[in-house]
Amino acid sequence: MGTLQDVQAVFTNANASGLVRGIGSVIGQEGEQEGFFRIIQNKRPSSAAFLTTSVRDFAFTALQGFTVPGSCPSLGEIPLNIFGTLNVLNAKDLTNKNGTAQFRVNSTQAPISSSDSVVYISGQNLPVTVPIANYYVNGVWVTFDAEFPFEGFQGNGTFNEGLTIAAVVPGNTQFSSADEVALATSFGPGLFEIN
Amino acid sequence: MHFSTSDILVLALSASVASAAPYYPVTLKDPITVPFIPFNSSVTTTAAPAQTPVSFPLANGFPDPSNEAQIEIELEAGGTLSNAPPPSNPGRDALTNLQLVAFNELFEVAFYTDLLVNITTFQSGFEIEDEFEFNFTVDALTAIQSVSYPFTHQKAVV
Repeated sequence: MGTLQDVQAVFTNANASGLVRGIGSVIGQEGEQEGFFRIIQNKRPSSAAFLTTSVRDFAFTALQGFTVPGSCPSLGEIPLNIFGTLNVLNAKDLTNKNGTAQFRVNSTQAPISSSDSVVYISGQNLPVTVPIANYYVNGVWVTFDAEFPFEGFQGNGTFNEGLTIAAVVPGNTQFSSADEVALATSFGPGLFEIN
Repeated sequence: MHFSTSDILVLALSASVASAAPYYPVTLKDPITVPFIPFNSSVTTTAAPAQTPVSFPLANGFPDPSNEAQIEIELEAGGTLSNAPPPSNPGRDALTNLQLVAFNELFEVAFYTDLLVNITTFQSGFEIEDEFEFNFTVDALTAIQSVSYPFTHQKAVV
């Protein structure tokens, strides 16, 4: 999920650059697996020229969804953030054209407000910030939309096919890296897979 | 994921011991109740497996396999753990990397074990009709599952 890219960067900055090669070999091996899984779904082996980057906390959060709560006794020792769950309601309907993404969150997990934005991370491009709309509260559940600007706002889209990651952040800031997005994230990752 | 992870994990565990951080062995409580079906066993059962999630330890002792089990795993994975020395003085964030990778690998082992059981016991929705495709897929998934094994039992090196 792009996580190992972040792992490599962190090893370099944490006096462990000798492990970068090993992680690189793992990224390649996982790519071999991905090619297999894509072929048996009659997809092209590679989803895009540059796979989408990510940040460790997004992967750590996503893994919670596969973990029986309380079943991992040392989970609390891992100093990574767990964000609120970002449910994407219509991921399967979105294509490589502009569209509207629909989201739902549980307001007891993290702060949410109608002035928040969705930030998309796709490929190796700068994150794209889009304000949310149609903010609707029903008990603890809050639903909202955001544009899914695959083609961009003036036909100059920066989204890749394959994986795009979404995060909810307060306000309407532009971010210059996936790391910055993760630092501001309240809910995420929302996952989109185009082709 | 990947065979080099075991050395990576050794580093993580030994470094955390060296820094006097609390160390909880990664063993979960209940033994597996879903049978682990190795690739070359003849699968003729049509009984549904227990409707319980995969839990550790697996039948081969994972995440703490014996030396023999480790050799079998490496054979199935198509390669060995790295025998190169780890970094001598990694920062805290490097250890966090290793913790995340290990956690992810445990998830992957559980996921692929579950998937293999579903396919090899012919659960509804997991059927592969064509015999060649069935064998090819089970072979590929078994290798992936073996590649996902990180190890926790090697000697401290730091």
